[in-house]
Amino acid sequence: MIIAVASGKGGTGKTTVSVNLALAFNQKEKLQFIDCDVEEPNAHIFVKPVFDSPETVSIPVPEINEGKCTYCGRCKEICVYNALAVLKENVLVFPELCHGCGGCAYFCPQEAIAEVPRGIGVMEKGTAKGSAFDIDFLHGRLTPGEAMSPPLINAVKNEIDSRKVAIIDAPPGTSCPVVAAVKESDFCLLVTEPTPFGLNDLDLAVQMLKKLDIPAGVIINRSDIGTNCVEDYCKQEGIPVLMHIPWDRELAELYAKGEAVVLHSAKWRDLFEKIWMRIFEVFDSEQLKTEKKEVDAG
Amino acid sequence: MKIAICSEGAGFDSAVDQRFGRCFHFVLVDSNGEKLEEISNPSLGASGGAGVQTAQFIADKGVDVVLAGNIGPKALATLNACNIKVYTGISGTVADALSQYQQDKLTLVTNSTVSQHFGLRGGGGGGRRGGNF
Repeated sequence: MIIAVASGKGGTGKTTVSVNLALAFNQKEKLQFIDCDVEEPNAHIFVKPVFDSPETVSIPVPEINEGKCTYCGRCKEICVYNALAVLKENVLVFPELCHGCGGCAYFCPQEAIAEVPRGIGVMEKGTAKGSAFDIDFLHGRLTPGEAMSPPLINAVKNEIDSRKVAIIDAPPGTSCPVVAAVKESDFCLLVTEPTPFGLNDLDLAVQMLKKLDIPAGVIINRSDIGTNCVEDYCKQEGIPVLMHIPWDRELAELYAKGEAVVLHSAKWRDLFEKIWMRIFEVFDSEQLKTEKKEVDAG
Repeated sequence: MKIAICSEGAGFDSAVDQRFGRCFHFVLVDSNGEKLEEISNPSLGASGGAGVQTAQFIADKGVDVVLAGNIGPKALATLNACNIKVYTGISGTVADALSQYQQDKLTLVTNSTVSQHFGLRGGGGGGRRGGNF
């Protein structure tokens, strides 16, 4: 089972929710935590895993065999990212523009293009152990200045162990990196705040999940500010609100120290354990719906 | 010899365009300053790599000299690889740019004069008609 934690808006509390959820999971050794916010991974600050040595993650970029090349220009026609320039007696490759699709090598009539790896970041794996938890922790770190995070996100997600429950901490927004992070999840928790800004971006995230056909539940953070707009929206859209997180001094103080609140407060631990129950309830009812659809269709 | 001048429109009276990769037009002239051709830039709206694509386009046109406001690193690398000379610092109209070149008032560049993505930000004096950034 894969649970993604996402939000349209940034800074709503995705990492707070995902790390506390992970640390409140009551089946020891059955949890993987995957931080897919590879541009700014930070869940490790709260989960505190011990990492093994990092592995480089690369994308394939073209290397031209000038001996075989006839300068026909097929490769630059294929490349929509303009990563190749074919001149009279010269081919220039701009690796930083290359998305690693392999089209140039595939279509080269002379087989003059080899694909060579170019590192875009690293993946780090580790384990976080405490008296009540034992978490497989993974994250990606994109090299600053790199434009494309999805290949790194996909590499980290390839490590998902289907026998475990995986929590994915997604980047904010609704574009390619978020789609890469949440796709193939069984359930997505959307963290938002009850403000017009929060609602606007929540709606974008909901639309994205509809396209990906992933069931969602909403967590309203800073629930004692703003208006009822998010509640009303969720009612209208039929999306369950799984939790309200009010402003709380204890939570904020622990957060500021890089500590997860569930490890220090029984009250918060109970609340996050309850979310797990709600997630399983919603997940089961979605499963039933899918099965019913299949029966009806059959 | 073929000279390409970055411009906002066709003709000698058009203002020069400070951008290269995302400039609107090129006015091509011969060494006597006679107009050969006016072409609009097909790479104006490229999502990325406009400099590379435009440089490739100019190279394919058989151009020997480019007169530009500014030039980015990838475009310059591509033009240099074809031995195309790039002069920067043009201002005013296309006719002005041509006389600046003929009077040797421009700078022959070997290092790019702006960082990548310059043209996406509207390009200095080139007007704010480039892509939104």
